[in-house]
Amino acid sequence: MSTKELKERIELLQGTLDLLVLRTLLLGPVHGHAIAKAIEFKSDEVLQVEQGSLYPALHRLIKRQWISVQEGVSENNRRAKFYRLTAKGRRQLAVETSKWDKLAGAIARVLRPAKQGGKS
Amino acid sequence: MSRRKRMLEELDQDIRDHIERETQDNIDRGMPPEEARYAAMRKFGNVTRVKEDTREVWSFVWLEQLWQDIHFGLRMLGKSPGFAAVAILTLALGIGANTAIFSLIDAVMLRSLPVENPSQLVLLQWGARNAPNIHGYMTSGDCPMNLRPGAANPTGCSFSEPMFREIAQANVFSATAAFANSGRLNLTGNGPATVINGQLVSGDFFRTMGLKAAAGRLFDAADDTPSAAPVAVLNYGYWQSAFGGSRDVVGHTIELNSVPFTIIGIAEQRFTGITPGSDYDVWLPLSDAQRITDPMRWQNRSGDASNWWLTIIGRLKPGTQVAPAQAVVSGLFGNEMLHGSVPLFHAGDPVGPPMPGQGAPAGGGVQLRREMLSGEAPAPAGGKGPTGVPAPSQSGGNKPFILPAPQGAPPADRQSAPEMSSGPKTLSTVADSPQVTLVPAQTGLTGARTRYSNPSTS
Repeated sequence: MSTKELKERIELLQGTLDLLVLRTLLLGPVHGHAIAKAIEFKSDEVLQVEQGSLYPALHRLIKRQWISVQEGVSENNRRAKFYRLTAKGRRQLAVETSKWDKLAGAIARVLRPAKQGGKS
Repeated sequence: MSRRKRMLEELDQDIRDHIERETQDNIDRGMPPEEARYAAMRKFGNVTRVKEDTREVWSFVWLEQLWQDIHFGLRMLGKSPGFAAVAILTLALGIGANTAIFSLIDAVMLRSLPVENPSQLVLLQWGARNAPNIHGYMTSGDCPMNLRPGAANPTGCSFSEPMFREIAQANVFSATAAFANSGRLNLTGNGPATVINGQLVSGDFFRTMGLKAAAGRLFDAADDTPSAAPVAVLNYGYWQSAFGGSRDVVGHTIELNSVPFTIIGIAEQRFTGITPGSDYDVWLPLSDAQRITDPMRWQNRSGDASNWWLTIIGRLKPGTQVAPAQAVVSGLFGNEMLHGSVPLFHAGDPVGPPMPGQGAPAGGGVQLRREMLSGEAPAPAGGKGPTGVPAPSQSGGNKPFILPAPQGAPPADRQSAPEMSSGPKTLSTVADSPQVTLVPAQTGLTGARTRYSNPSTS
């Protein structure tokens, strides 16, 4: 179970899961369960991924040919599907990341206007 | 196997593996196995929904692939423009030719009436500002009509028999035909008694339609005279079903409403009726109408200009336009409507029996008797009728009888009754501008069959 209280968890924004999956895969081929674990772990368990929703996202990415699948053997010697970032996916990750930065920056500026500047 | 199928096939297994791993993680963290599994399932979420969402991801793949194929196809065509031009031109010509041929077939074969040169046939449709001064109106459902009490600009396509005879003799059309539903006919003389549908048609009906006989002969003008022996023409389909298509039926006698009719022929197969949707089993000459109709309902219809019951069709003479013919017919109609006086009642007139030979002569000044006008019970002698109609004189002991308005036909007489006064009346007035329009039969005969009531029974 997670250590965080339930109310501190944040539902993922629509469409951001794809970005997180791509980012996770940048480190190398991983199977589905490990992706979910990685996202939770790296966000200090703040981001609440309903693990099931990972699968539609993975299939979406496969269809767009941003990731590929291959059979492999997991750490505990079990057959598993490993998802791997494609070259196309890698490019897409760069695009999506910069988009996200812009969005996050813009929202931050609206919520907390810069202390310098403004009216003189 | 398609990518979609392969991906989805393994989804169940992937989900099971996932939950198992999560369960194992939970156990490793010290949870009891039961609780570990429950927590893993909760964390995964709704499995069914996940499967549906995943399936949806792939649902329009074929469409996207099709789009890619089209793109590829267009690119390839672009690379060889000569081939592309030939292919496109071939398709265009093929489609164009097909469309043209089908349009022609549609117009000539599918939409046309099953008669010769149907485009020459016109339907007569009357119209006026107010309802004409008539006491009987019957529609056989060949065209839409508007004659509800009080309706403005009433219209219809039923005419009186004198009007038909006059138009037919005026030589406006190369042929003129009139027809009406005979009502249901009790048929005996061919096995068990049955009830069939018949149409009363004028002698020129089949000639006007340009139809031939499949066997025997069709009507001619001589068959449509009061002295002619009753004869009948069978519908081809009815001939096949009721008489087994036997040629021996020509000359055979059947009884319709207890009147013996000799079958003289079978209409050609394509013709099942002039109005779409109304099939008649048998055609009978107009002159036999009285023989098969209940006398109380008959009301001397054939000589009565104020009893309208016939649908009229004319065949335009080759090369003539509609407008001049319409002007002539409308003139005849207007003349009869405005000048053909219709005396309400003549003292001493015999009431009831039909008066033969009372056909309307060409031109105006037609004197026609009406047995009784009002649809209401007559008022006592000397008094005023409930509708303002002066009660007829009772001299001679004649009892005026009530005209039973045919069911389905509106009581047209009621509308005009209040303006009646004693003395000769006309069917309409100049102010009502009665006129006739010639409508192409193919569009005019809509077959909007109003519920037809049987004039021979009830």
